[in-house]
Amino acid sequence: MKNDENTRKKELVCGNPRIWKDPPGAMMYCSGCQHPVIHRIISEVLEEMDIYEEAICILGVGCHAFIQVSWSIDTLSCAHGRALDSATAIKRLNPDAIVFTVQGDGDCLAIGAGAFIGAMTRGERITTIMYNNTNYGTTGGQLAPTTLIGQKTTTTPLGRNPKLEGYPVRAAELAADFEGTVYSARGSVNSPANYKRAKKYIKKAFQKQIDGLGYSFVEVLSACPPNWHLSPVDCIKRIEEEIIPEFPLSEIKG
Amino acid sequence: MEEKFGSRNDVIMAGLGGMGVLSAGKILSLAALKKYRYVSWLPSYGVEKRGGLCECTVIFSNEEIASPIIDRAQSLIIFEGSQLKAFEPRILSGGIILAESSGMEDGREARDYKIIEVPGLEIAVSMGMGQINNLILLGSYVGVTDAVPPELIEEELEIRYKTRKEVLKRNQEAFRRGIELGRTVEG
Amino acid sequence: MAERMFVQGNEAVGWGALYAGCDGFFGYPITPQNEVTQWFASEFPKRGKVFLQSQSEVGSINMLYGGAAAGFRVMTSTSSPGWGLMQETISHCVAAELPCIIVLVQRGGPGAGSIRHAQMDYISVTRGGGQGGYKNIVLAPASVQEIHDLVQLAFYLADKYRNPTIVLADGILGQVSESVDVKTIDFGPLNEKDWALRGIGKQKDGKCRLINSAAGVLPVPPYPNYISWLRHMDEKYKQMEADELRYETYKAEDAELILIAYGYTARVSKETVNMARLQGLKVGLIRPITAWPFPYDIIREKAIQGCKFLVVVDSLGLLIEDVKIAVESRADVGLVSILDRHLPTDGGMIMPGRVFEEVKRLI
Ligand code: SF4
Repeated sequence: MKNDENTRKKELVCGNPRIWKDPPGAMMYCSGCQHPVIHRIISEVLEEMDIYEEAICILGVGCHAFIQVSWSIDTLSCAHGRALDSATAIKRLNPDAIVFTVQGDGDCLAIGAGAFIGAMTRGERITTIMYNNTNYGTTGGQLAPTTLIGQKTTTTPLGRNPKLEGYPVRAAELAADFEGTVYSARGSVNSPANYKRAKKYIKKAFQKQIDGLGYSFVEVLSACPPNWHLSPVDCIKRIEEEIIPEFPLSEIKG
Repeated sequence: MEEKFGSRNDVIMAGLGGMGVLSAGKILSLAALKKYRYVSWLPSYGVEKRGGLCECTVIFSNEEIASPIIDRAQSLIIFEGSQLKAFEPRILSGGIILAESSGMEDGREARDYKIIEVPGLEIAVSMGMGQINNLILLGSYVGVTDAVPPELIEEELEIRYKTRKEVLKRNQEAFRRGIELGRTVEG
Repeated sequence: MAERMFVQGNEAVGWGALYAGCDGFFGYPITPQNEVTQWFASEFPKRGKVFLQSQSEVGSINMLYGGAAAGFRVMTSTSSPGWGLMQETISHCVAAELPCIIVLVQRGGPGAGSIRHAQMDYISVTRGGGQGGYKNIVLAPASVQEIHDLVQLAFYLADKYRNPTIVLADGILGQVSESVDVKTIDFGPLNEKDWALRGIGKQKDGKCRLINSAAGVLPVPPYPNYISWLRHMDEKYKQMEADELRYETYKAEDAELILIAYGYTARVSKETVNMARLQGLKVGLIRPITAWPFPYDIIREKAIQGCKFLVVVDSLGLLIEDVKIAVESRADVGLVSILDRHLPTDGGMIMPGRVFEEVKRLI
């Protein structure tokens, strides 16, 4: 890739991102899953900003982590919830690297809450892209910190009851509250317009890291058809009608 | 001492937290480091840092030190007279106990060690300072045993109190008084 | 050139690490090893190295996971409760074959136990305390000099085997100060870490690197499947057992009774051997320097020769289990344990005099 300067500089107008392997990793996902769409945005951003050669991706545990076999950048798969701890050390030891975590909402906000808070407290100069599909996809659709009130999951068969399971966590707003966080936004990929917006957010987040300003965070809503028990098309509708009202799309900080 | 115990010296210092037991031990250790191949300093104290029981064991030797933990030592320095009884079992036969005379109780059994009462607190007060009797006691120990050359301790004091000339002066004076005291007793 | 210094055991961890070329220290405060963390905080940043106080011991060990994956020499230090917290990711480090150093300054347990010295983590340290049954080389220093030396060896062995290495100390060794020769020790050349994550732009072959700890989910080249990868791990453990065993024998040649101890109680035991020899008693010492691999063979040999054994350990036993495995019921194995401390407090410790009493009873 390094030797292929000429092709790299040319604008890619169609096809897969160059750092994607063949066959593309999207093959590992359920049909209608939007994780590969977000992977694609990250890949495009790394290429367009020309930072993929310095990039080190740190993964949590969950469906998002299948990306490890489908792109060709240096990647570390971590213990569940600990990506931000591992990323912290890499960035501190190798400040020239572009260090980012890809995590699910359960990985980041439940089991990984301590690492998340720690990284923001210290204002680590790293970037997190958190995929929010309001449940645990890999393990079969259980309650997540982001599950909506009333949403049925395999561990809330009667729907999430705030008296028992509390309320959905708004990660982007939480992140924005930390002084160490310099950028926080929430996007979605349920429409071409939102795709473009999400891409802009992710680009900005990486730029903050390049500028050495502090921690940057982008939450992206994602569909999980099998666990939502909806068709891919109905998933997109659900995002529009139920999820975005609860998790509004915007740049919250920066 | 040198003949009897060869090239090894060991001493247990005991007192209460805040009396300067550990620092006296540290100063002795650092001085000894310049003359001996092996030195060890083991502190032991209660949960409370001040006022609780506090002791350290200092060993310096040209032979490898098997254990920094020993049951009995060639010398004991007792910083608080009332503790003499408790620590008596930890002196080797033929050893020397230097004990602060204030607080000392009567009625000890005669044993095969030498006891030297050091009126450290009294001297310190007469010098107008209460905080320096640890160096009076350390000085007496060096005066009696010649375990380390006094200059090495003085060097350590100079390093330790480099920026606090007043404190250095007081400590040096105290240490010298201790040496004198130790030498007189020995003679 | 060695520099002669008077160093506390906890600080010797730092000097050893510095002279081993450690790049980063990640730690969380816990008694009785706080001087370790403080040493790195004051000595590392000014030398351009990384010190970071993590948000927990879980944080520390996962920072090691990252730092090691990026090809750096990284370490942490903790005491027993923190050791418990680290188990999950130590197991991940083994699985991902990431070299790192964990220094464990043991204190009393179980639970919050005591904040003072003890030797109560022997089993979880030597058996792979986390999920999945694995092995780490465990180096057990018995002096401040040896802490300095073995921390350096730990880095070498970790890199050599691409595996975590544990340095097993205790609160006494952490607190004691001793004279130390501070210097770099050369253990020989090591392979380049061409597997480490640096960004593809810095990879010599321009190809991406992937590190994960789930060989059974995603095959790790060159191992086509989980079982072939496990075979590779098994071979690695066997090589460690064959090549990395270290122990000290002291006056054990003609001994009728052999003391077995590691760490601070090994020092106490050495003193006891000297006391016994002064009285003409044939007593010796075998001191494991590697608690894993354990010196089973030499102990078994002595058992066959008719020796008796006395384990001296500041716990309820633990170490005695390995000694019993070694002697295969051929010899009596006595025990001086934490219950034999000279004071019934957490400040009490095992003293040579008490061990000697037991020696006289057994011989
Ligand atoms: S379970 Fe959900 S998150 Fe996982 S791959 Fe399928 S759709 Fe995507």
